[in-house]
Amino acid sequence: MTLLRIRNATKSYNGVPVLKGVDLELEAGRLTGLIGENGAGKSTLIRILTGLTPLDGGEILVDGDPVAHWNAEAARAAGIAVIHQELQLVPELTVAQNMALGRPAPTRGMRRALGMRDDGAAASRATELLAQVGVTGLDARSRVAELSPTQAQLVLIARALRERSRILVMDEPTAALAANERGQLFALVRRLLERGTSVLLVSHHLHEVHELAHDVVALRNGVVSAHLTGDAITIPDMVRAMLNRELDSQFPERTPSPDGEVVLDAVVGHTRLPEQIPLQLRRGEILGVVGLLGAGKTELARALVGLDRSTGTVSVGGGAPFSPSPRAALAAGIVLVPEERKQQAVFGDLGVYENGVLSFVTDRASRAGLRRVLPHLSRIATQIRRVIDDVGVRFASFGQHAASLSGGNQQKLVLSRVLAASPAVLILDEPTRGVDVGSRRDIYEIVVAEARRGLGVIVCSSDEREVHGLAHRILVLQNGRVAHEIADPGAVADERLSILLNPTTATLDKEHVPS
Amino acid sequence: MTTSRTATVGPAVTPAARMPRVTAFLSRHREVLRLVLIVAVLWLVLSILSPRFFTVANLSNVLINAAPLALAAAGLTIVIIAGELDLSVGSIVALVSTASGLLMIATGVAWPIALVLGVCVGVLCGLLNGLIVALIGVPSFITTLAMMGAFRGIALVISDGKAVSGLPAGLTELASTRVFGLPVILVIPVIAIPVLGFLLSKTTFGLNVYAIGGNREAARIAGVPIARTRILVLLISGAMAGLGGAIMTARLGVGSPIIADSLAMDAIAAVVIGGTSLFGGVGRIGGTVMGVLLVASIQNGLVLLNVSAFYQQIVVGVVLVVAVAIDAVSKRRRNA
Repeated sequence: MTLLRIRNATKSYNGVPVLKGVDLELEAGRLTGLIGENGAGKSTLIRILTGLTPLDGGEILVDGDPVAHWNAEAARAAGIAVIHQELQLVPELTVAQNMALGRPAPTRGMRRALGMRDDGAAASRATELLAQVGVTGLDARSRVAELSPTQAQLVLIARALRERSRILVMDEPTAALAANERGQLFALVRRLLERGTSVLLVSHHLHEVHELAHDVVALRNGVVSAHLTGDAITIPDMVRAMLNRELDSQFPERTPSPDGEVVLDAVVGHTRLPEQIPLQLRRGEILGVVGLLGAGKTELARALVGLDRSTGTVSVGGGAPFSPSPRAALAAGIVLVPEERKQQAVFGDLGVYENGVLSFVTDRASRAGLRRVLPHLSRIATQIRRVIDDVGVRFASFGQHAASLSGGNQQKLVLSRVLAASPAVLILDEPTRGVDVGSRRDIYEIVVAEARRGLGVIVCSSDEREVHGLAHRILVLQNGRVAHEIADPGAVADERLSILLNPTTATLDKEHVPS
Repeated sequence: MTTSRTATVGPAVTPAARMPRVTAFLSRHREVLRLVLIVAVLWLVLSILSPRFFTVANLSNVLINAAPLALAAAGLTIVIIAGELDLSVGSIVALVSTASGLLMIATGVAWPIALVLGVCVGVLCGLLNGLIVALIGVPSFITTLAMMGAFRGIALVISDGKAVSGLPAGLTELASTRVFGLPVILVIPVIAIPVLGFLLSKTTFGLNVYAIGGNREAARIAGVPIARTRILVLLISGAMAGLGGAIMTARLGVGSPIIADSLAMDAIAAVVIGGTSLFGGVGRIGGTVMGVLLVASIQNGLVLLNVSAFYQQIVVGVVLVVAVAIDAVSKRRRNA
């Protein structure tokens, strides 16, 4: 049964067509995967579906009837609920309060007259909703800040269902989840499908789409490039439908293990790490750091550039050890591409050029000397523009606001910024989160090329296959400690790596790990 | 795939095909140009309503009255872009005025030196604000709110609450000296404000200001000197208020501890009308200059039309809300 149908949707922004006649059908009890590179039009299609953006042309049919004025209100009436990329809960409020936001539990008598809320009723209603989606053992009175990302995600879904939603749109629901936590979410999605809910899943993780989807709609440059159903949904077919070119392999050829001099020698600690972690990195080496969410990857990365209240010392290229701060690290040549692009890396209101030049001109060790006082001087500009173009950022003008770039391009822009500062050590934390397949491959190629030129690279990632495909050496973190060191990832299957992440299974398998 | 307004379709655009310069200039300065248009229309309307409006005498009056506000608002623009606030500018003006007046009368320092020393007092006030904000970590809103009281209090204490009068004749002559009908003293804002514009748009310091106001955490990770930049913006604000205080002292012919009591609010209004975001990270000096001109022209026009001073406040309030509303609506439309 078709619940909702979009027919021949078109949309342009400032004369640039983003959707050029897209059809989409959502059926009860079926999961449709929506895939496409960044900029293919997925986000726009979702904004249209949820009524946040008006259509330029085309129509929307609910239960077969065209809806004349499609807006957010109509979308809600049609039973559409959205789970966004970013978790949209208020961390300081409780689960129940979050679930009652906008829809308070009804009150009577004096309470009603005084406008008092009923936290007790809200809690029992929240518990009920959670039970409906099969989540038990979660106290509705606990604060959201105390929940794991998966639990928060489940709360969000339960909240979406309070509206009796028939259509659930999930935009990168696993972006914030570690691999082993995804199963719980998928189990819930399957239960919803059995109840007759229609699900639209937008994900860059093709294996997730492969695992869950009944139908797949692939977008490319604003048109549906393929519609796959059932057994026809294969990862190579999906990749082919998304890209103009075919990807022979996801990862570039591994460079030979380097045995050059040590470029980074560090012992660093962080308030969320139980003890200091020693670390050595050679020129040209790509060191992978894996671990579950909360295992300490990000803390290690941030401690190396002296963020938060970190401790310890680092030395670069055999120089004198120093206690790192972001400024000192930059001057010594250690740069970080942080985990959260929007919150920690991109200056949305600044132009592409300004985003690229920032670290270069604030670097005390910058070779530009006095000239770095004026960041727009042509001698600096030529250099920075070349780096941005070489990294392959796609944009309309150097003055274009970075916020208007796609996720993959923003990530490349951040890479340009750190590479422009001529670093000796490049630290990447979740380098491909929310990045499409094509840009992902580009980023891998840049990382390998930089390593070949002699940079030491550290890749922290919750995507084990990514680390496995890139790294010369892997550190497996558990509860903030280095639990395993894998000297030759090529000799270890990537499934084995996933198993090692988990503290309980890993102890059983310890003897199988080559060291 | 966040807000994909440009939705990079097709291959990378070659540099040659990128936006032509004029179009790029127009789109970059769209907000400032819109204000220029609004001020032009306002001037036209006022010229029609009052024959006295579009005269050299009146316009130079508008400019010299607006000069202290323009200086303070220009400094405040940088502060607000950096994501900070400075509520103490009015009190700094009063303290600078009182201090330089006392220097001239009580210690007999030559008046130009007294004015320069007065501006230095403004710089010190700004530096103090900056140190408290950046090194101790008190939010600038609270710090400058407290200092607003403290600086004014110092001005009242040292002057015993009375205006310092009997200032040297040279000073008052300076204020009334005109070349081609324009007050010579306007040379101060005419130099200082473009210098700030240059600092903001062309220097690394300016880039750092936008960076820490737009995304503090990202700026820290990118290696921007956060503390130094925060100290500098508040210091600049103090210096600009100091210059405003010097002009006011010259124009009034007295050092007064009770002047400029609404300057901080007027300056914030002008900055916001000029398109600077109170959330930081966005804004231009040019916009602020037009914001000041708009507010000053309205006030002058209402005086010429014999509208009571009480109504003037209402009108300025309404203009502020309308300006911000236009900005909010256009932003919403662009994001839709």
